[in-house]
Amino acid sequence: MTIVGWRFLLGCVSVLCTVALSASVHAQTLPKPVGPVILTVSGNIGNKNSAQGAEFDAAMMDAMAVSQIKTTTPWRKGVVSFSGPTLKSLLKLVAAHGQTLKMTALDKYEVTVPAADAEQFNPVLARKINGVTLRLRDHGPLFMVYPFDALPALQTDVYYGRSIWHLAKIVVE
Amino acid sequence: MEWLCSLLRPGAYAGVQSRVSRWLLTIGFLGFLTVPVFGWVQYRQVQSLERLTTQSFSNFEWDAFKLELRLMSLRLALLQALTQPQAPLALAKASNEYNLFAAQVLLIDKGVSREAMNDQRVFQNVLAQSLAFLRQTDPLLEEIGASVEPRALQAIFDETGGLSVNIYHLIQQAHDLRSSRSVELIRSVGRINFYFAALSSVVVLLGAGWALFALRDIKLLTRRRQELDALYSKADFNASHDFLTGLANRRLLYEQLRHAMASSRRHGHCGALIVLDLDNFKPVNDTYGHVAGDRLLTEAARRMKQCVRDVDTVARVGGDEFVVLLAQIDGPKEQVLEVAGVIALKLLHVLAEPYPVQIAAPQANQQVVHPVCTISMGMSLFYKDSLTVDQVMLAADAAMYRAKRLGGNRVEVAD
Repeated sequence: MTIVGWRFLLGCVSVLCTVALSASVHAQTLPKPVGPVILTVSGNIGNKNSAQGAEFDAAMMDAMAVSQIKTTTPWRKGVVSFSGPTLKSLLKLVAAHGQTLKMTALDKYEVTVPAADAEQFNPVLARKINGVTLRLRDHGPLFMVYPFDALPALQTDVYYGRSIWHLAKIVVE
Repeated sequence: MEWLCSLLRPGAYAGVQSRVSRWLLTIGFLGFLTVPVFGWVQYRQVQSLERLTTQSFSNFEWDAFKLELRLMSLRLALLQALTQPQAPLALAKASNEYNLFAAQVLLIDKGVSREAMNDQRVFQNVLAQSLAFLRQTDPLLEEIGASVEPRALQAIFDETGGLSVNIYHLIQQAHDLRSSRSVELIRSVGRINFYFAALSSVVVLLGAGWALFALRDIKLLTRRRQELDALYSKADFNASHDFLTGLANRRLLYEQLRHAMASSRRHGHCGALIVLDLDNFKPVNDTYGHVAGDRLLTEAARRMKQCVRDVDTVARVGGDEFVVLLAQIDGPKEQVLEVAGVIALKLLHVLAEPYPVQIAAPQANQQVVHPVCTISMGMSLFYKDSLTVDQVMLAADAAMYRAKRLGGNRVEVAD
């Protein structure tokens, strides 16, 4: 075989692999939550695992890729490391299509976040602070944090208000 | 006079002026320096006023309100758990509310909003009480394990009652503190503004006073200079004019005559010099007194002035001796004598009129007499010739004496 032939064959294989992978992502169904549900994503989403929408328990959240934001906030003294899945990856996982996200906390706090924030600022749904898993009293189980130190433009009441803790429900609209 | 001279001496104000201008420069420079300071103060005032006098809750007040709200929810859940001990989810709900309350307490404990209240006793009390409450209650309510005794639940509920009252006081305290800080700020800003206003009014007053005094000084100096000018011109007039009649004196006459002769030589026109002598002035003087004589002389001078043009000079050169200089007589040389003669005859005529003179009489207070005083005149013409001033004067004088010898009241022309 010539070199051109090898390349042609490689190209065909890579295309086939890509098609197969994307098919597998589409075909992927969310597992059912085993433990207590900590987050419910509903509304305009493609991937569901229950009648309400996509439900996550702690193990499912921890299974997602972890990102980290080190920043100062008005709620903790000094620089604190927030780690957990990003909002972007969560929305991708549930195949969300919408402009706004209506977020509700356990303490009935509600805030509307533009879906574009996920791409633009890449906030993190923190599961851990300084490596310690968040309990309810540490503003857990999920605490959405923007990279305030990296983008000082975010240090306004608008984004402090969007940083919701005790996050329990997201409705995609 | 010395003080006037010292006032107007050029160096009199030099020291004062340099000192004054140095002061002015210093004051102006300091004023210039205060401009950015003033601007900065104003900017800070606006900023602080905007921020601190606005009637919205501070961050800490919001946090304290949320704490009270969480505690109320907890109390409600506890009450439900107490009243319906058989309900399965009541205890779980109470635990949940308890953890939310704990989250709010820890938020205040760890957050930055507490800095506003850190040194307040109420805050320290509430914080200590809340943390103690958490330590005490954590084993029972943080996780739902074995069933909780109703008595322990009741104790927790009672505890929250006292805590709720204290948190309410804390909210009040935070509110009062914000208000009192705003009031204090408004007062201090008002005080600073008052100082600035007082300072600027003092500066304005000083400036106004300064300007007023400067104006007064300028006015005084201007008046002094005018007085001095008047003094000089008066002295000049006195030096060249007769005191009694206001006519030119011999000095000014010679000056004018020299001028007129130089002018006639240059431009080729004629002039005439007439010497007049009052024929019987001495008897009048002797009869009616010096005062009457002086009045007669003054009146004679007035009449002479009226007979000639403004450009001509009338001078008093002796006691009763006058000179009229006709500086420039236009026309051909042959007619000059005729023109001068007309003027001379006019003088003769006018001066021969009786003079009404008031005198002081022994019986009546005032009496008017009418003495008559004729004149003798000698006239000398000059035209572009080489005669000197003295020669012209002498010739006219000689002609006048000839007229006097011939009986007076006439005009004689020099050869």
